[in-house]
Amino acid sequence: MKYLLALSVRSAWNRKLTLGLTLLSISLSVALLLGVERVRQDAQDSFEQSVSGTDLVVGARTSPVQLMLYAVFHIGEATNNIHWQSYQDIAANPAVAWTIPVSLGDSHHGFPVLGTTADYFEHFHYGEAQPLTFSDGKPFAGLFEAVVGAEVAKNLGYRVGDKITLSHGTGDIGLSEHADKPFSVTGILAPTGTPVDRTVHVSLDAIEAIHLDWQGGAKIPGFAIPAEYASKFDLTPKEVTAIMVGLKSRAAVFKMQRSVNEYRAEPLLAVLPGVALDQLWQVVGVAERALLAVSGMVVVVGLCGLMAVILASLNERRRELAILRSVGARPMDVFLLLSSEGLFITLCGTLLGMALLTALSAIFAPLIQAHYGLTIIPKFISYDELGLLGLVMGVSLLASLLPGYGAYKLSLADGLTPRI
Amino acid sequence: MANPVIQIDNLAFRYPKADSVCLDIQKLHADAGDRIFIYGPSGSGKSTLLGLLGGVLTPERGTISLLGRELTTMSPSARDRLRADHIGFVFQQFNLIPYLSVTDNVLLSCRFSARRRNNALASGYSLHDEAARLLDHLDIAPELRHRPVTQLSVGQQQRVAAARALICRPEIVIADEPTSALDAERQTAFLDLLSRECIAAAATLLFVSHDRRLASGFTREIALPSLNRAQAAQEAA
Amino acid sequence: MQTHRTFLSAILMCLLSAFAAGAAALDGDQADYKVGERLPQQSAAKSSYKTINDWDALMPKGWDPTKDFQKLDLSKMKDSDPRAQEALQRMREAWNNAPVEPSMNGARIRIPGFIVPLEEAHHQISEFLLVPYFGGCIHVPPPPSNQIIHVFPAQPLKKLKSMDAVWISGVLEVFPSDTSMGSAGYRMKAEVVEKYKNK
Repeated sequence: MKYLLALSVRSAWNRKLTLGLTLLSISLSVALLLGVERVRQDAQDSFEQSVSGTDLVVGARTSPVQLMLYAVFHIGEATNNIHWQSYQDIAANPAVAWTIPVSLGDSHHGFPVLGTTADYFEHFHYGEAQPLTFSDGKPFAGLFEAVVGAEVAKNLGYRVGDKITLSHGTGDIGLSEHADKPFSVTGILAPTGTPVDRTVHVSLDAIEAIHLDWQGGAKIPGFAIPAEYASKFDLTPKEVTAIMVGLKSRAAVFKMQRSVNEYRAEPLLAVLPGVALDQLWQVVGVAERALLAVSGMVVVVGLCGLMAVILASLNERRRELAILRSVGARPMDVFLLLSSEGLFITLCGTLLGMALLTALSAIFAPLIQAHYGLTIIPKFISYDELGLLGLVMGVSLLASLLPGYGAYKLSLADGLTPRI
Repeated sequence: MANPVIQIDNLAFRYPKADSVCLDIQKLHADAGDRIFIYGPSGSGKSTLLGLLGGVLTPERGTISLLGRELTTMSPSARDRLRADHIGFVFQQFNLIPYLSVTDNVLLSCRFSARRRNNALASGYSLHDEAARLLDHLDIAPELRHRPVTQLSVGQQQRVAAARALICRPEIVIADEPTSALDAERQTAFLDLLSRECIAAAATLLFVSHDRRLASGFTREIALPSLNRAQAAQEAA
Repeated sequence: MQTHRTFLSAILMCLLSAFAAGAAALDGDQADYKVGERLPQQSAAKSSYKTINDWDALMPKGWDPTKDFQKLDLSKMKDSDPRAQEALQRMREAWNNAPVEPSMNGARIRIPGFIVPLEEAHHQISEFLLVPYFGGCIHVPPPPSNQIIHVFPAQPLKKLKSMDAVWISGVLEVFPSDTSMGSAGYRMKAEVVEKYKNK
């Protein structure tokens, strides 16, 4: 038995050019299969980590998924804003323990700018109730001060004290810059693995200040208010984009949600972050399952190719099989020899695919983190993936039986003297 | 000494779906130490006879006994084991497995037979030593032994095949046209080598060929077309 | 080669069905509940917990918010009499602000319900609310505070998500809520959380 396995390995190695291509196709398909599953899990994980301890996220009435996407993940845009009065009413609600108002719309070299208050640094938590910490500096205090996330600082090489300018709109190209009102970096946040890392934080007042001499999305021509005079104006925000709410009693969340949803003065939506995320996964889940099915089919195609190559080689190997029979190999030995070849190639292909995926994820993880705020963790294998891999090997086992059986029948028919 | 190694009696074999019997032998006995030349031109039932002796084919009628063991009463895997333990084969060409080295090809016979392995080890030598010894006798230089077999000439390949057949002293050696692919000068040289080794090992040699000129030097000569009654019947029909 | 062809199709069928089975296994089972549906009553297995099938047990005993409403004689009122609507409104508010049943404090119970996740990390739910009926987030009026249990599972929940049905077992606590809301609530450190299976 052991010798048969050694024999099949050497036989496969002898035909490494032809088998090598099928091995490559299997490894690519396994890398694809595992990669799809891994990205799915890591993306879900990343999203779940992004907010913790927040009972409700409130925004202008839209879909819960869209609200979560722009308010928490800074992906996409709000269709409407919330009036300042509505924010004050919500903050004044006796059930509310704390609120964090946020304002979105500007960007800095492709990174979103978040206008908020000092409450953000105190109450915002992520992951498992972890608070935000500073790797350097402190929160903004003055008007034109900013706190940048870890990825922003790393990518653009910022240190505390550097001056930066914000751009209007969320595009990558800084077409409309607020060049006359530069911000000073007062703090850099420690890495969190969440969208916080790729965000620039300023005060709500500052957002008002940089738009003082703007109207309708563009700077009013011939009209400029210098930065030092900005504080002379009323910088109370008129609108905010979203509000994060923490309640005194978490069980009161439904009542609070209902009262926000039924707020008369303005159409608002309050969502429970966990529930909204689950809705997101439901929506995405169909596409994810389709993707997984397609990847699985690709693996099957790769296996079929391997089996076809081995089957095609059977005719040339009739002499070899006859020699083996002449030295005493039984038809069952011939069957095992050919079957184990297919299994062996699949095993090698699978291991190669896993190595490929690990290498690719190690290379691309930092890029994905910088662009999407998603953390992909490069690893060779994880516990959940064992099921998938077992399935691949199981299917390959079934498929390998075919050339094995072909060889078995051929050997029985040929005996010691095949007529080629 | 009458020590029957091969005993075929009243044997008949028909291929599945064939109308008529293709091999019909009344009697074929061989003793230990016999070196038998079987004249078998193509179509005389030579492959069938080899298949029956090798235990891969089952006769329709009659008995075929090797070393006192009756093949028709044995299961297929028992026959495979018998073949592994007691018989060495040499074929006309393509005798060797292309992805194994020369030495590994020779040792192939020992892989499926514990008895043959133990044979060698009982005399105190390792399997590799035995292989080396045989290859020496068969004039295969040491530097060739770890080369892939595809680099050898046909003559060298046949001699390696002979080594494989002979290693660990099987009782029976069956050679099926082993010289047909060789040129004339090498043919006699190969024959001499093979015979010498069989005598040394006290093995029974069955040498099948269509070339009667090689018949000298054997203890017996059998013509398969006359032995095979089925052939005669066909010709008469 | 005829046998080879049939064998080939058989192998391909095996491959496809094995794959389909694997895909189905990877996908979790999802029960189909309708909005507002409650979990059916199930007979209790022996356990150290008292199985509660009906969330009414969490209502304060002897408390009836429909008292005032029932005093009204609807047959004697004119159409669009504001008192009818006001009485209904008052009853609804009373229902929403219902107090808890103090005797449930410290009870070892086992109760079924639907999950509303509050804290989730690494695909595990570490804190959630348990509500008596399905879909109690947007489509249906929220349950009153005595029909919500704030649960802290001993082991974080794996492979469960929003609106999955579970049994929780543990010691129920009544904890005083903020006085401004005027009502206390239920809390539990759940020792056991099991998936709810329809028998």
